[in-house]
Amino acid sequence: MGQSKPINTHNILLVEDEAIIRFELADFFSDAGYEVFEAGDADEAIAILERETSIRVVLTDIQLPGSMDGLKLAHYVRDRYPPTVLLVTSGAAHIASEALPLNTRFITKPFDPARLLQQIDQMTR
Amino acid sequence: MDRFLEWSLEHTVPPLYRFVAITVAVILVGIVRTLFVTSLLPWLFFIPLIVFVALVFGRGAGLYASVASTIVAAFTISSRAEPLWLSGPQWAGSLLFLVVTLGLAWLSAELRSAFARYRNLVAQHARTNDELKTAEGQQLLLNEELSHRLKNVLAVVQSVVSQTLRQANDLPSANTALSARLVALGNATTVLTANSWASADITAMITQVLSPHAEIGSRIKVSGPPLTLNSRGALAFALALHELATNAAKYGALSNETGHVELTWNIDRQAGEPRLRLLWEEIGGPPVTSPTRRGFGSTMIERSLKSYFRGEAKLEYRPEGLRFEVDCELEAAGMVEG
Repeated sequence: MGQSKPINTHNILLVEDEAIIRFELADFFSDAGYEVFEAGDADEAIAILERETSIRVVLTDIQLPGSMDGLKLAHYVRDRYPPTVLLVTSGAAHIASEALPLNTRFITKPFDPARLLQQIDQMTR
Repeated sequence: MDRFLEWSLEHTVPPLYRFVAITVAVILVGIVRTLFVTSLLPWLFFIPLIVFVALVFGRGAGLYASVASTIVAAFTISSRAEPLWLSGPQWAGSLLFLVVTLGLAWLSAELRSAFARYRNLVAQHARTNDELKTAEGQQLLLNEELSHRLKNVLAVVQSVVSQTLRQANDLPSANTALSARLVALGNATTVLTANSWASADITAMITQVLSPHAEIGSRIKVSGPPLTLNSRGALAFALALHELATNAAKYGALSNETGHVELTWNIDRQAGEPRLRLLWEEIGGPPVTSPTRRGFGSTMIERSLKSYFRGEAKLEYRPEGLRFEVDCELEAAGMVEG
């Protein structure tokens, strides 16, 4: 694990394999004052989380390439970094709530970034 | 009786065994009738056996049982005192018995055929029901998958729209760029849909996306071995090609009468894992200058393909012509040769 930094509610990790979507989200959150970290799969996300201990918000897509999908990543994050604000997104219409870790918000794609920002603000309060 | 019928429809008894068994059964009935049941008319005792045989073994066996029963029944009541072994009424009774039992055997055999048809219909109905349920299940899955993909595509479109608006100088130029990008996405979708949205042939994708920009073969020369892109990479590749072609038509090799583009790719196997090396090279266009800021196009071309293909993507604004190069491992990029 990297050097410990104070947790910043305005540090967000975006885990999305669709780079086009990720870039837009990254720009949007940057404009909103967030420091944005980007990952294209779970392994990259875990590496970033271990390096950047100040990350407070994780937004992950469920469908990810590689060794771990977004749900597994969400459970990993909840177990390893309990205070993290977790949001899971997918093109699927719904997901069984028991499949999600505790205190995790599910958002269906496509979503309104402004509303997403409001939800994150509520969850980080 | 149903069980006997079921059994007989599912099993085949060889004809010899069948007729031997019927003969033995008829003789046994004749013996029982002669020894123990003298109160009934001699023929009546055989009727249940004939019906049973016709039901279980079919028409031929039923008719045989009728004839055999008539002979055995006649034998049990025959007398040497009679000139023709039987009296006149006995002959009449025997003939009547034969006619009646032949009819009964025929009817029983028809009943057996009807039961077989009913059984087939029930089985067919069950199969149809199963197939219908399976088809409904598949339809549901397909709908969910379609909805999932549609929403993902909408999310991509949403991002393209936002990026276009974010980086546009004015609304009319945003409108033009956005329309062209959506057309490129639509063209990519055509290629992907032809293969159930699972993959896309690289040449088909190039042809579909670049054809609206310039004539393939003369102004855009395309060559490379057969290669299949995965669906995610294909969409990004299509958008990147569209951006390259749009840029070439505005400022590069396709903006004058003499320039052309060479789009080539090959599979390099020298360094272990097979690698794709793809090159977009503009030749004969006006001198190129680097743009002052990075827009959606260059982001799409460079950053996005780098991410989707998990390799290197390099855009060079060389004075003699723009050059774009991709270098990635086939497997990591989700590509398959052929």
